Amino acid sequence: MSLSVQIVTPAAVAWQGTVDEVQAPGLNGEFGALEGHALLLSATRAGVVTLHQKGGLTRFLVGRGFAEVSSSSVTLLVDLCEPHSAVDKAAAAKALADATNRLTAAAPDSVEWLEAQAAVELATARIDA
Amino acid sequence: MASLRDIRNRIGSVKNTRQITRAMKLVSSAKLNRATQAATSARPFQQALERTLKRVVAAGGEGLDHPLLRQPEVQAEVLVVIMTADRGLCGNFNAIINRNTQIEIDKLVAAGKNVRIVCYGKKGRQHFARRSYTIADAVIDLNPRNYPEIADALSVRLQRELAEDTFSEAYLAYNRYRSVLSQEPTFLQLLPMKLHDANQASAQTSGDDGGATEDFIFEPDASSLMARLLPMSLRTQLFQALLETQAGEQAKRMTAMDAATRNASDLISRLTLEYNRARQAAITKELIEIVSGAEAL
Repeated sequence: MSLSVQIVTPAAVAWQGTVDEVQAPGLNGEFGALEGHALLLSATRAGVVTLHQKGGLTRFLVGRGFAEVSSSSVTLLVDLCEPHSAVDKAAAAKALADATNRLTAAAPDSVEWLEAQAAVELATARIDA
Repeated sequence: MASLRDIRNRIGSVKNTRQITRAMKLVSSAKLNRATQAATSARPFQQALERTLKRVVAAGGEGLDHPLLRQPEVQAEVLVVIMTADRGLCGNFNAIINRNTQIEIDKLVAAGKNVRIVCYGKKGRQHFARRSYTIADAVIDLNPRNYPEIADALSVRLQRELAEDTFSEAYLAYNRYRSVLSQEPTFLQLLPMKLHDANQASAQTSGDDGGATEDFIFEPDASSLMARLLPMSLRTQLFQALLETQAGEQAKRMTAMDAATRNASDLISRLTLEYNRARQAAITKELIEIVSGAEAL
């Protein structure tokens, strides 16, 4: 039972390896993938990705992106990826306040609004991580 | 004939120049390493994104609609983003991209379009400001460390201005990085985005790729995936262009400074030869004077 997993960010391949199970924050809710999963292309929210391996769990905080799942592999295309232990919740709280301000200031559906929304999503994910 | 001291001074100054060009070569070769490394590690993301986009397009067909794809009715206002280096001394790197872009811009102007330029890098601004083109604004003193933010800001700006109808078409001009010795000036359409390229590519590669036509479950639907993919793809394209510009600049500077160092060494050996000859001539002359002086006694 193994899935080859790649977490790819714009700057580099952040992580790759073989795992037993992946849990990722899908846009419509958390989903898990095991070997033999049906072909799936899902948008993902900012949140925590959990990789189940023999030795235990590895967790990453990821930004928005996409997950491409096939029967033997999972590719996560995300804005950013940081180890779960490196998440700075204090900074995230500040960022959340800042992003919320921008969100209220911007016109709904404008580019700034969407951008602020993404920032809120990321900050919230960091706080909840 | 130049005096001994003149030649000596000249040798000294050429040696100084050589030291500088040699140092610049070393610096840019280190920077080139870093830049190509960055470009290489950015590639997997780009490839995966392209593959994903292809799949969504293949599944959604022609019915997909998005502001970034819409063909505008009036195509008068054009925005050209040009990426050059901030500094010179990198061979013809800036000249090539500026010249090529100017030709393309003149074509657009001849077609009755109103072109505004956004410059990334001082050298582009210098070139087009001097020739009185309309420069909307310029972003200069780019630090490779900030490329992700720069690409982000530019992509947000382009989307906003497109939504506000400030322009109807946007182009990107930069030097595509092929290898240390070859960069290719590139002028491509950024917005509205062209998907048929992706379609063609998928038709060509569907044999080895195979995945493009398989039945993926889309979550949510294809068009909302598209709405997220397109801005991401725009930003990635800009990021990649910045990385390639940086790599190209450093590559050109390295080769230019290598050539300059070699020229300086040649010049030094020629001058040294001349210096030795002049010294020999001076000694001979002095000897003759002494000898003939002694004979006269």
